[in-house]
Amino acid sequence: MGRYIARRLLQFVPVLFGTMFLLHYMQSLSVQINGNPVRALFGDRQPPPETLAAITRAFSLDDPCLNQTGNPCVGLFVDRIINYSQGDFGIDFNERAITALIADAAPITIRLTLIAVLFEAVVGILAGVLAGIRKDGVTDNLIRITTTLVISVPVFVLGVLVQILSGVYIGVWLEDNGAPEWLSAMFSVSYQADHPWASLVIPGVVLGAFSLGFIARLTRTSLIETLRADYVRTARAKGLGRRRVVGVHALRNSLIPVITYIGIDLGALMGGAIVTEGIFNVPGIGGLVFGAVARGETPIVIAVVTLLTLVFLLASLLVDVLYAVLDPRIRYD
Amino acid sequence: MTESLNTEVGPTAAPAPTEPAGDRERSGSLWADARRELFRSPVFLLSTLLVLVVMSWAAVPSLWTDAGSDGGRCELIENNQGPSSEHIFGTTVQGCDMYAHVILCARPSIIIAVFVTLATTLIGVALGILAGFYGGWLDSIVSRITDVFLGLPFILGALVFLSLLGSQSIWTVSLVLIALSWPPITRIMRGSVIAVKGLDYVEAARALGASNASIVFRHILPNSIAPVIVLATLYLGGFVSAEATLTFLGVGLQIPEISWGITIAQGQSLAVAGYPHLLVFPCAALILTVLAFILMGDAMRDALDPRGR
Amino acid sequence: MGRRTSLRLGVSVAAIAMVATACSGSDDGGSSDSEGDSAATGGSFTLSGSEPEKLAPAADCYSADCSQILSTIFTSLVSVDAETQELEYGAAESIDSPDAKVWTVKLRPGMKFHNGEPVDAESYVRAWNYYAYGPNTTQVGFFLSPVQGYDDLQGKQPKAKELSGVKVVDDTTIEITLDEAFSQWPLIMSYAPAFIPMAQECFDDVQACNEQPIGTGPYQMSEPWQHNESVTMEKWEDYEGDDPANADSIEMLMYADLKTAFRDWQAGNLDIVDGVDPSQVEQAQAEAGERWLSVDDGSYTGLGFPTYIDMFDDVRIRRALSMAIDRETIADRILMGQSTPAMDYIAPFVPGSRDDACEYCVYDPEEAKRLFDEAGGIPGNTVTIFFNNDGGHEGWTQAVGEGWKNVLGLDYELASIPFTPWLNTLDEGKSPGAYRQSWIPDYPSPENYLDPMYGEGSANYSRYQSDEFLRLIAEADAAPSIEEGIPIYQEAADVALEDLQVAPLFFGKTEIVYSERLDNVNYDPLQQILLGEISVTG
Repeated sequence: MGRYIARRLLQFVPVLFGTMFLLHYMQSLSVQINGNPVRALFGDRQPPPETLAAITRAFSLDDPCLNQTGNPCVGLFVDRIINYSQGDFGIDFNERAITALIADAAPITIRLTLIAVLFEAVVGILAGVLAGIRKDGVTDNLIRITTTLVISVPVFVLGVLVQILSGVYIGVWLEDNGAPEWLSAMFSVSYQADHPWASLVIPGVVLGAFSLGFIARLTRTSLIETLRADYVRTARAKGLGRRRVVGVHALRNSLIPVITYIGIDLGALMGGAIVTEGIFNVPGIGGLVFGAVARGETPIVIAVVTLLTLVFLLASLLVDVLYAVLDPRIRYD
Repeated sequence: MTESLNTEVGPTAAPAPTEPAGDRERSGSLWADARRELFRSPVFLLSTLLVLVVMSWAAVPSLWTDAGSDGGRCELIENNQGPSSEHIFGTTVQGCDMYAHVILCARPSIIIAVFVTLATTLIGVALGILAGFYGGWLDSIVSRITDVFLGLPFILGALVFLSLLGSQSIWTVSLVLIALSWPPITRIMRGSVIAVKGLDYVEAARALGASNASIVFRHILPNSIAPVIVLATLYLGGFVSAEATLTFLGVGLQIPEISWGITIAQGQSLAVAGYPHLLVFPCAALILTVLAFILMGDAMRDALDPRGR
Repeated sequence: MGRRTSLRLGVSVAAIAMVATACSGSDDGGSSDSEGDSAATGGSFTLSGSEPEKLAPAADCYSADCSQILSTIFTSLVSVDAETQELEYGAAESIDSPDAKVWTVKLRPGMKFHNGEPVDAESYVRAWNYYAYGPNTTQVGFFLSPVQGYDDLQGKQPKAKELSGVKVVDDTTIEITLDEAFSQWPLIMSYAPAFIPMAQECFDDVQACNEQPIGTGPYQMSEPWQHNESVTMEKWEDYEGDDPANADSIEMLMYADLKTAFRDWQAGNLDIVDGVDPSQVEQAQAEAGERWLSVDDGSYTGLGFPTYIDMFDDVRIRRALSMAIDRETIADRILMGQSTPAMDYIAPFVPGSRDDACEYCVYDPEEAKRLFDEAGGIPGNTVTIFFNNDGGHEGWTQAVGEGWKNVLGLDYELASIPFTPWLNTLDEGKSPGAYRQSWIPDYPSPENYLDPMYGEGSANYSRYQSDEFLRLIAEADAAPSIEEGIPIYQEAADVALEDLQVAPLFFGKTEIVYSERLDNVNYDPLQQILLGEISVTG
């Protein structure tokens, strides 16, 4: 197992380089196709050429390769890697260090993601199990319909509806009825720095809602399969209780696709919270990177997405290790 | 996708090793069984009917509305009106008839959803089997590339790719959606294949000298595809709403293109501020479509699973 | 998803507040109770804002909310009375010139920075040299470009580090020499970010000053800027100037989307929403009742017909297209009343604005069709409208197109791309059709609405060229006073409106709602809330 993990860690290197280069190329192409991003800082007014040139130079956007569409700008990429190796991750257009920006945003997003994962895993698996043991029953159909709704209503609609319901109606009602501060913070319209966990609960639930449907349905399907497997029949035949059969034998084996999905979802939740963070005014990674893509702030895009890739890789390593734990037949050597 | 699977498995289907003894007396092909099963299922019949209805919106909108392809004449002065006898679903932000608009939007939305789902599933299943079944260096390469794309969160990746291009067509949006959604399917398929590969009946088939191709198509594929089918039908709905989200974020389809996504994104902020019909009707069409495909997927999966009977 | 990328008017809130004081009849100004009985002091309130770019150097602070902060923690040199449109002095006692070329600024004596340093001539000159120096790469330092010697500070290795046209005469007197006579110069000096002073402490460590600026106004930042969350401004007890400061503390909360801010207001978590989203205006009106303000914000939207596209060569086509646009209905139905139809290039509150200057901006389908047919229509019978797709312009552009379709029988196409490539395309003169021309003014002079867009200025994307127009602008610039320049600017506007290379469409409005706890919430038409005047009652 130790050697397996070491080998996997070694595999991170090409993936991270691949990601960085892909992003670097995309962002270079973006400058080549869309033009100098510094220009947009000035809005309707064209800046004097010398001002534009000076600022462009200050952000290393004056390299001639950025005028040649399709040129991968390898030189710039090498410069960037050298800077990274010296601990210099660059600055944004307001000259704030990228490291400071990430240090501000990441803890918030990590809290949000934890809440979302906890919610989707606990509620999703529970719902999936309830549906799976009574296939085509009331719970099953209820979950099927809820899932459909959650999946087909775009998150920017769902999020705003939940925000109005929880923030404007429930929140105000709670406040009027003298609810404790943490409770009304939980039902607030937007993120409150004074309540770093409570005010992220509702955004976390909205963020996790989409995956909740997937997890419930994956669990259900997987459980139905497993319940038909021979060893479950054997266990039942031996006279084990239904609860024990489902809980210990069937569920453990049904969770493999579910865990795979959660592992994949972790990275998506951290970076994919763009819309949810925007609606609930959460100053996290999503908003940071969305603004960076829109403004063409390459250093932010590359640093943040590479970091997210690293998170994702670690999560999927964890998932593969969990495979072996959940299913003793899988061996790594 | 399910079509090709069936023809491969069908004609020669001997009872799968895991089939319970009670099913052995059944004869005929797997596909014939599945068909018999399907036509007996009310869920399948209902969902098929729904899918047909939705498809007819897309294929022959003139069956449903006599407005031309441009949505009929729009009167700005009559915009944002609620349902009335003249406009049963009310009017849009631009003062067009909402009912006609919802019908006309079906085509681009469904093309995107179906096309992306089919392409994604094909790519995902193929790569998942390659990586999971053969393992070794093939697995390494496929998995590393998958990792690069998986590490890009969906919406974020779409932003980076789409902001390269100024304006979008349904094909550029579809391509980006495909580029970003094959990796999860591949990953799930790979995990599923690895799990099935270790099972006794696969070992048995191998010991009996079965070729790789026959192991893959007769044992691995049918037994590992269930989670993918579930995911794919869910994805189909997800794609339509993802398309809407991209428009909402300003990188997806934009007017004068039409789609449910654009209609929802355009009407969203006004709808929650007192004009609910701007959201209710396009969302209802979307939900109906997604529900139809999910139910059909469920029924198909149940019918195709030999152990389910 | 709206973006307000451009400059908003940067006229000092504090200075305007002083004007309001004067108008209400209290002649000595000074104390916070000058607004009458209703003004209570103490308490705190919150308002919505968006993350500023930088708080120091000030010349990097170009967005509206950033200006709002600077205007609250600084007393700016000069501003303009919204009602009388006369200059009102703040930190300056006078700004005079005999020839509109050499200007003398007399500073009010005895003012201090929050750290105790004196606000003297040196502190201004130090700041202006910093803002103008090319390698400092400030965003709005080019507002100093009319000053003699500005060019010597530009380039990779500038020839000079100080503006030769700026001289410290004594502690309270600065002499500024311009390259050419410019009658509107005092109005430019009302643009706070380019002209506020810099304390020596700030000059020595700009980074630290960015996190916690050292101002000169009635409020100070007592704690550092909480990035993406909030900026808190507290009353500065040692303030010696005239600007009112009723509340003890003001907190600006940063919102990525103002729709969320409005919902926070509905839930009672926010006191002032500065800029209600169009979709929520009806709700705001219904729920806020009296506690609702609608203000002309000076922003301008037009439709440009580039000279490099042949189909727009004929002036009759340009006029027909303009007259086939139903500005009233679009403003009302699509822009939800947050815009007013534009009948001039110059926004309503700016001196010299008229409400009937544009003959061809009146909706007249018959005349439009007649002109259009007379000119023989356009080849291909299709016009493209070119705009950026991240600013919420889809609705009105489509409505303009639909109008052309209905009135002129013309097909239209919408070409929309993101902001950066859109601007770069306009810069390169490659617009595929009629384009969205927009402007947010920097200072309240007709010159600012004319020269940049139709003269040799920085936003002439239609490539309009008229010697007559340029001659009139030059004449107005050289007028001996601001007032005498105005009729000449109007003549220039008439020339451009006749040629109609850009058709005026709308002037923007901003909606503000506030909570029951607040009283005396006022704005000046330059879109800034008078924060110091607000009193907290609940």
